[in-house]
Amino acid sequence: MHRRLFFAIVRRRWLIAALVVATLLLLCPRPDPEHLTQQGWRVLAIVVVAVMLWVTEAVPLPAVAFLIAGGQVLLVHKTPDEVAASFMKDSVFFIIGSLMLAVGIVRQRVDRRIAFLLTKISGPRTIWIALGVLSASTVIASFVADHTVAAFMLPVALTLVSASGQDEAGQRRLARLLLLAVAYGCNIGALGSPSGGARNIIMMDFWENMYDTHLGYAEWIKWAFPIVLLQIPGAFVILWFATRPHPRELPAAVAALRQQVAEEGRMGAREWAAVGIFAATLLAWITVGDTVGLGMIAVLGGTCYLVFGLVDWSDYNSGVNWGVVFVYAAAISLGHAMKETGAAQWVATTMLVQLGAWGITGGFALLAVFAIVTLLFTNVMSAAATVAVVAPILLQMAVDAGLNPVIAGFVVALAAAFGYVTTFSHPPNMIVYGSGRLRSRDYISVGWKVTLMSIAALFVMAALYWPHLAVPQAGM
Amino acid sequence: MTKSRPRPHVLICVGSEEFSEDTIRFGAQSAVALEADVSVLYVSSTAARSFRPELALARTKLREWELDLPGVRVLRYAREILAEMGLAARDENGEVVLRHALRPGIRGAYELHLVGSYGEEVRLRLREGGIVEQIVEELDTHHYSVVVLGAPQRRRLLHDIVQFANASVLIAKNAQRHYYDLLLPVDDSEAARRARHIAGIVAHTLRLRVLVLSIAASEQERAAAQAVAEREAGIVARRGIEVQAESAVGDVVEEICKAAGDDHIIVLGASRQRQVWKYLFGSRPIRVVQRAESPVLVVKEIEEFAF
Repeated sequence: MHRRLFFAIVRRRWLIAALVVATLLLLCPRPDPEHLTQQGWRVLAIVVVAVMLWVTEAVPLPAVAFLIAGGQVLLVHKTPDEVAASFMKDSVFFIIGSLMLAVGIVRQRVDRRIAFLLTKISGPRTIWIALGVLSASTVIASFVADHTVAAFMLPVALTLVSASGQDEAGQRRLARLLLLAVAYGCNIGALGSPSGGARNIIMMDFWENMYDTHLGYAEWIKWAFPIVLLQIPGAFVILWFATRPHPRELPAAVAALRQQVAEEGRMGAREWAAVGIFAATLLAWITVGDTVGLGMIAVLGGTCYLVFGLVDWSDYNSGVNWGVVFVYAAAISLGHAMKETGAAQWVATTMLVQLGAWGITGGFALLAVFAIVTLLFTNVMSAAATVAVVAPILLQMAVDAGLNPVIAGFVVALAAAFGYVTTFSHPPNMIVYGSGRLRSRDYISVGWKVTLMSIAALFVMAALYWPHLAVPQAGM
Repeated sequence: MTKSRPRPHVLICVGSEEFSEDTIRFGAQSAVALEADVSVLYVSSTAARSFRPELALARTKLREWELDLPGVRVLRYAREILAEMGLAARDENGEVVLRHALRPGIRGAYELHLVGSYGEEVRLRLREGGIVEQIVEELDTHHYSVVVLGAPQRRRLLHDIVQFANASVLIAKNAQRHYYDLLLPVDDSEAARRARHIAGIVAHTLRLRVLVLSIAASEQERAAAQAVAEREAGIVARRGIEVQAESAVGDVVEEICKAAGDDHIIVLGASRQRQVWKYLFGSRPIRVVQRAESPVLVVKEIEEFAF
């Protein structure tokens, strides 16, 4: 076989494997005809193939989204309008609007202001600079899309590293500390509020539409933000002792950073307008989100940036990843299909029977299983896709085992943020890795420790804090 | 009117700064000796194509802060080494002379074009994507005589590049020495004849000594192996090259690596086995490349060295 032809086939091996798997699954008789419908079996086939394509990126991710749509029409026999409607819900608008707001913030060079504040507060001591970078990344990523925060904190960290005056080994240690602080800070922060990450919005959609349970913007913060704060010191201690940076002070680096941002001058009207629009949007989410819809508010906020001339449409065109929006939409649609066809119920029942044989029937043990399963998925594919695939099943398991789906859902959504070990699981990891200053094994060697810390924090919250909160019941 | 020979073109593939100095120097030495055009390629391996807008946003911020794009630092480092070795011309201020600054969209890559010291083309190129895909695409879109790369830690990467590259492959393993002899393993195969032809050209051009090695499976076959080695050595010696013929008994790959030590460049012809077989089970040249402790040249086509 010719070299070029064979290479073209090798490059598409995962696509070929996915097609083979799809064919086999569709031709095989369904394993449990009494409890699993034909449509449910086909939805599971779509899920398996979608996961293969998401993990391997054998085709561009938006193509997977459209294959999911087409699969539901052709194989599950949903109507085109039904499928299209499942793609464009308020939750999808929320994702779009959040991404637009993030672009609006970035265009106003807010990163320079943050860097300036950082130098003022932290001073030249390395420990305070690192804690400042981690804290800033975490807190901002709680409300602004995590990849955006990673994008504008990256140059701050790189400037500190480059201007530190250290030799190569010293710069490498400092890079590990500050760049991982940016990546992990964004991952930790992204679960702090619904606008922090698409996975949060997907989970809220599932609660609302599958279990008739509504959770507002402020309520999510009440449940999740404390775990964000709890993880900051834990992550910092791990990063500090894993990287052991020296020297203890970075006066040259801080001076270089101050010089960079001093040129900005005072905040002008445009910047105040940008911050004001974002703050107004945040306030609207908290106060009227339940009536107007979080998604509507988000896109209106993004539209305000356009109306006031703070951004052009070309900024949104290039800065918003429209392809990934389709992926999130497809993920929501697929989750609903799993619930409606009984596929999620069948898998949930099967798994509960198996876990029951191992003595796991509910309570913390079952929640631990949820966290571990989510963790395994989220380190090989995006957090949103993880939630879309596992949440319908795990939520059903929770209900069948007598657990509240809100608590189970929080465990899943928060665990989906714990993608610290691979460079490709979450956009902040990719962005920081793309600087060329980190190696993939840096993520592995530090990430597994941060993972354990995050799981511990999650269960501390589940045991000590969440029991004191009023759990939304179905229909409330 | 005689037709001018095409100038050879060497592609040097680099990774991070800390691991690329030897590869760049080795490749540059080869290019100087062959009077070749040189391109240095850095592949920025982006983990997820679907997050390119997010990565583009990060790059926009880096540019705003006047920080180097990832990969540019490595290419700048390569530029300094090439200038130090006399490949890139400098002006009266000691600055490297550019034909054009870093520009996107030149045959699928960002490119920085330098003025060569002796009129040759010197290019620094930056691609994004999977490492193997981008190297293969670079080799397919422009004619290169040989691609020089270091020894990546991922063995599969080396395997795939050697199998799919559309040029001879020179792996610069432990390439810190300034002088190497050539080791030419021989048998009766077409691949060995190709390797012999190229080893002869290279040894003659660079005035290197050649060790011809034939390997027998057992002591009973050693005499026949020695005869093959001496026959092949005689052919190589016709170019006026200093040649030595030896034989060995044992596993072919192990004996080649043992004989090469760290002071021979091993010259092998690429296997003509089926692509599927090579992909799944490898080939002898690929196994030598993975086991050797010295540079290895895998020769694909003789025409690449028609200069």
